Amino acid sequence: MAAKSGKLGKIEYAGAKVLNINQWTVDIDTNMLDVTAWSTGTDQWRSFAAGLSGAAASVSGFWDADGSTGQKNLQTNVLTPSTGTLILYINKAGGENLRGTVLMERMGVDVALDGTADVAFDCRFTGAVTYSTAT
Amino acid sequence: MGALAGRLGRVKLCASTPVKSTGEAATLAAGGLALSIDTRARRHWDRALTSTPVVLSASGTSTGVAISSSNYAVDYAAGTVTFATARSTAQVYTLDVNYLTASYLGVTHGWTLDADVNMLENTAFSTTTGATRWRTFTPGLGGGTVSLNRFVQESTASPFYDLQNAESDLVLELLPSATAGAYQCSGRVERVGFDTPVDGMPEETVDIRVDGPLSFTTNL
Repeated sequence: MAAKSGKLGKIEYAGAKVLNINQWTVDIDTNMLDVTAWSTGTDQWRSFAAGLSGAAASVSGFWDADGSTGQKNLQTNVLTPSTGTLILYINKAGGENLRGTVLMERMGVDVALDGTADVAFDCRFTGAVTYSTAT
Repeated sequence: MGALAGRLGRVKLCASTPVKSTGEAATLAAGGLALSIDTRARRHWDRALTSTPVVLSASGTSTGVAISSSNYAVDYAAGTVTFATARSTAQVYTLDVNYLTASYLGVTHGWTLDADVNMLENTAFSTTTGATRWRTFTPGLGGGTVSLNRFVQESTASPFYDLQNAESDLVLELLPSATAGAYQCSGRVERVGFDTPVDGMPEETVDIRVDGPLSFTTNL
């Protein structure tokens, strides 16, 4: 498959499209547990076992909490914590996406006279992140 | 609504001296839990005074009877009363409040708001034959910070410098535009910085710690 343009992205939260977003990132990590032990050989290479996995996501764009239901849902769940399903689309047409249940961890709003009213959200996945091609 | 230009932004700061008002008309929202005062300009309440808003039922079977404050929670910065259990919307409610008048804050040209919630990890061993893999969390305490970028106003003392010195709290409204909604909170001035470059405008930067609940309203 060829490289995808970022313009194909999209996000949904709590069942609603989140409008006026122009970037998302997700970081999925797995703890690496060092299980290196003494060996009978002369070479000594580290070895690992997989520990717990976790993930965090960030979305950012233009502030639109009064117009976009999805963006308002994100904000509401920062101000009054509750879980919701976040779907991060790589390709809104093809449907490739990462999804999971998240808790909203941070919201930043930035309004500068000579710029746009911007918003950024950080969230933490609580439980599994899954990859899907379903729209 | 699409993206907003930052030039539409505004900040409101409440006066520190409250005005007492009794019998303010209030509307109980559908669902019977959230009660807010009808007059928008009187929705920021002084939390320093010991008198809390007294909710009265002015009609129905309990005319004029005060409702015990143990039955509701008060968000002073947002001017809302939230009942623990739903009440009848058929009754008429009034409030006695000490409200703070909010005015647009001058010489301000930028604001930022950061709200955060602590994530408390509660991942545990599996209770099935499958292993635990993914971390799980529950929300902890919430908090927030506000930063304001302002010009220094000639011959006028900074209200934030005074508030910091007096160790007084404040009530703020942060508006992305005049009509798009407003973030509301009480806060305490954490830092005031002044910057006077030879080749630019003297500027004031104010950092405020949100003190208590932070809310958003489109009921302007």
